Amino acid sequence: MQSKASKAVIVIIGILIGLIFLVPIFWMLATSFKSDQEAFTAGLKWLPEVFTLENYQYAFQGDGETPVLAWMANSLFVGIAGTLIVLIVDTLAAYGLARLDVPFKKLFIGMFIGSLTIPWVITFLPLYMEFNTFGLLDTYAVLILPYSANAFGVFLLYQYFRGFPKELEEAAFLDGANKWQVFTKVVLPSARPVIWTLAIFTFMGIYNDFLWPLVTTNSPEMRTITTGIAIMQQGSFVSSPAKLMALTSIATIPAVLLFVIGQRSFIKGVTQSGIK
Amino acid sequence: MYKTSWKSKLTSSLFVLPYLILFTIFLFIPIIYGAWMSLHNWDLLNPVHEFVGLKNYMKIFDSSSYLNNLFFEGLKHTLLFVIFSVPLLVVVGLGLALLINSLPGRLKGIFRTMYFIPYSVSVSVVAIIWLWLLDTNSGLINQYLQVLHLPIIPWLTDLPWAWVSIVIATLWWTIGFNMVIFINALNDVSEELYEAGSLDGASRWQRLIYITLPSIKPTMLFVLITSTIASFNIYGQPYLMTRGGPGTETKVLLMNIVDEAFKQRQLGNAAAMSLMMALIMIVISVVQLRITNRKE
Amino acid sequence: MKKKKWLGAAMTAALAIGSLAGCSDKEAGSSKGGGDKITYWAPFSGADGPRMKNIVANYNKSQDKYEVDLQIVPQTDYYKTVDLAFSGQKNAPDLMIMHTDQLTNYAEKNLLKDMSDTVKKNNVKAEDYSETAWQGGTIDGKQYSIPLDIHPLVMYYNKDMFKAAGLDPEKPPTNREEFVAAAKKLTDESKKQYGFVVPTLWPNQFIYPTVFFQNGGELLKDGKPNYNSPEGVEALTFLRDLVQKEKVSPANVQQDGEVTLFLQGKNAMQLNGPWMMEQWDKAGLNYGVAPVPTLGTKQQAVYANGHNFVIPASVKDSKKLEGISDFLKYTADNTMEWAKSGQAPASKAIYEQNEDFKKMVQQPQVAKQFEYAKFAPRVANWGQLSEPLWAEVNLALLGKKDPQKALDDANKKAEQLLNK
Repeated sequence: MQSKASKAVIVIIGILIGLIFLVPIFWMLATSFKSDQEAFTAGLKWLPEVFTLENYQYAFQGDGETPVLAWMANSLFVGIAGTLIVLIVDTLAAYGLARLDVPFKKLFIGMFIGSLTIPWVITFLPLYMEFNTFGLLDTYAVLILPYSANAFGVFLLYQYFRGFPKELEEAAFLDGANKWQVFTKVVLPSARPVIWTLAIFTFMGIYNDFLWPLVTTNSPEMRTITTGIAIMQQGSFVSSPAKLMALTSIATIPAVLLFVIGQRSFIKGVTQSGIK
Repeated sequence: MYKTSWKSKLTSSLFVLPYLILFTIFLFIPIIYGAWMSLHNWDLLNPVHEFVGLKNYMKIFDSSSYLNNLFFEGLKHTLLFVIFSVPLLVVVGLGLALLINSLPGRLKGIFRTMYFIPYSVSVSVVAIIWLWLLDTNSGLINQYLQVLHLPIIPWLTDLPWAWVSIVIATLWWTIGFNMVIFINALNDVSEELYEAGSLDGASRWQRLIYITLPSIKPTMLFVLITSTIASFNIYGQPYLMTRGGPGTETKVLLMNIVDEAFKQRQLGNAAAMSLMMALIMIVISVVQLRITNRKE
Repeated sequence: MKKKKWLGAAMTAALAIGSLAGCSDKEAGSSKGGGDKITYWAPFSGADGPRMKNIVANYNKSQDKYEVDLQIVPQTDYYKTVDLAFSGQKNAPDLMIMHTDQLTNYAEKNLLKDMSDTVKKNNVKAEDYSETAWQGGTIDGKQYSIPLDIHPLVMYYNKDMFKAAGLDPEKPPTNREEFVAAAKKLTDESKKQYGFVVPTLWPNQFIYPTVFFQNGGELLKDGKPNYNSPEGVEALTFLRDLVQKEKVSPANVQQDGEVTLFLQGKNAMQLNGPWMMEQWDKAGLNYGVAPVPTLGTKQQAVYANGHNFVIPASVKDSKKLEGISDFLKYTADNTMEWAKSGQAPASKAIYEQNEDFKKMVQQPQVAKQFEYAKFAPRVANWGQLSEPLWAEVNLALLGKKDPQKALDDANKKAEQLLNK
């Protein structure tokens, strides 16, 4: 049993570590409310001397320079669609490989896990050429589909399913359920936390990727928020830090929200598996 | 467990099929295509690609070729980063997960979110933030050092500081990922094991060593391997923070490959270098798997 | 039940993928005006972007035969995107901007159109442009590009700091002695204030060759790297001594460190490109602009790059070509808008004749350097050959290597690159 004092110590340590994580983020937010000029000369002053919303106004209007809402919509769509595909396809494959009598199982596992080690540069160009051949550049397809082949999710879920107690499945099979039913009724619900974990990681991976969307799209209306930021950031070599930070703060919101929402499910899943 | 009739095999295969299709189209074919490229003198801007066999690979091992230098210097720097970062990524990730798990229930969610937030920004933002904090002459950290009358530190222009900065920024950015995976695993360690443990009068430390760690071994291995792979793929942080400097001391392998591919447009060379890099990563992953399995 | 659910999910997925693919055709036929569409790529993702957008918009308004569609690709990924377009032979633009130092590479591979005939018909002539700029696009007697601007290195200085140090803010230094003397006066170590903060990375790609050229040196001689020539060593030693001997700069300056200090009023002088103007303006600095002082020992010279219009060789449609040269002609006469971004257009109609231009603060100073500006050496892979040079210059300026040794090493690596 923990004493109250040791609990307090742990909380204090937790807060101190939390500061390390939050201070840079706080600095990002604080800067986004400064004028560009103040941002450069602020020195050790953290809070804006003159609190201004102009950076946000600029981001949202910006003479069409920074159509943040359109970029955001693209990013969200691409992120969500990509994540859904990954979740469906990866849970199926991982379960099959971990538990079912799939032929050539060892070969597949070796191939998938091996593919994790392939640096992205090698597939980058061939993929580009593939999409170019089919005339799919500058579409949502090119922004979504390449992420669906990443074996990370399969690896993660495979590890999870392998450690999953067999008794539950066996009981269901004895009740006459088939593989699909066992998968959807028994396995998937209990894998909720790990599926959420994968969902969050996948979404963020897609949402934050920037080189691929940058190179494969060229019309402004297909841009994602990350490429939008990159374009603004690389503008004229050194940028306006405050405006950039406003854009960045806006872009950070969906990812953080997703994590906060996902977290609830995550805990629910955990308590569920605790009951078993 | 199941009847391994052809029918059962067929339905089981259907589970793997959708991913297999996507894998083939968007990963396998591109990799094969990449390997094919590596056998050619493939200039992006030249429509004719001359078949050269293994010449690109031989150049990597020929000390009079610039590729040799490009590959092994880059590899050395990448390996340095892997050695610096991976132990920290695993240990700190686990440490944070344990910390969060010993927090009172209501606080868990808040702290988990707090530690995870940096993961939700993109690498360019990470670089912007840390460049400002670490700037030698006007960064926050050095300004505070001056206030405290301590010598300022050339965070990004001198060794070992450049590596320290890159590792710090990487930890700050990605540690939430490993932490969440560890939290997931810790939650799956069954309560009965712990209860048995505390009855035997085991100390906290003993419980960690003898109960927790062995039960989360698959996760440890997973985190170890994915962290190693991720660290091998380091690119954005040095590219944006140090530009590979001082000199080329932090210029990692992937930076050299990307330069060779997109700046020099020598795709054949770049493809050969990437395949060599993949080969090294596969060997390391297999070794990691073997070593951890042997301990069992 | 379950089967239906799965079927539903599969259907949704299939539909989603189908609709994704469908999106590709949507944009194809949509052109706002009625005229022939000319796609035009440019790397102007900075302050210059809106300027170019205005020029294009005005052109589109001025006539209805052609419709120029400007697409801006960020600077750092511009050539990556261009290369991919060239290699795919699809999605390539009809007209694009290319930097002077990149021209040789693409021209040698026959990827650019010889524009001589095309533009002659529309009365675009060499005499209308700065000779330096026009020559930049002439390779083996063929004209591969029409210049938009030249951007040489310029000197920026903080007028308030000049006044405070007792220097005349209207008389910036013009040679090495004056420069070093001013820099020393402007330095106050106790206040962490410096005369000239020496960058160790970018924009040394401009600064170091400038001093090198001013010493009368050449980066390549007979196609061979010549980095460790006495002129080169002198140039690097001079820059390093500013940090180590004269102490007018802090050591260990990181990427953009000198810019931040300049914006904070702690760096009195800096050498950078004309594109920085808008930064200083936004920050409300009281700054001056001047041609780069002669920091070398022999001659006046400055390293420059330039923006040029080029047409991919694959563009053959004569109507399109006509439209392009019509647009280029229009641009030459209407680049005052371009000048507003801080750049000096290479069109004589602007920099020699336009009164409004002459009244501008920075741009005429930039144009003053046109005559003696020098571009990167004309080899296809200059980018690759120069890579070791920048890394070694970085090491020398950080005090980690002796200049002679650093340049010897750079030369060795560059020679190795040549022998591939």
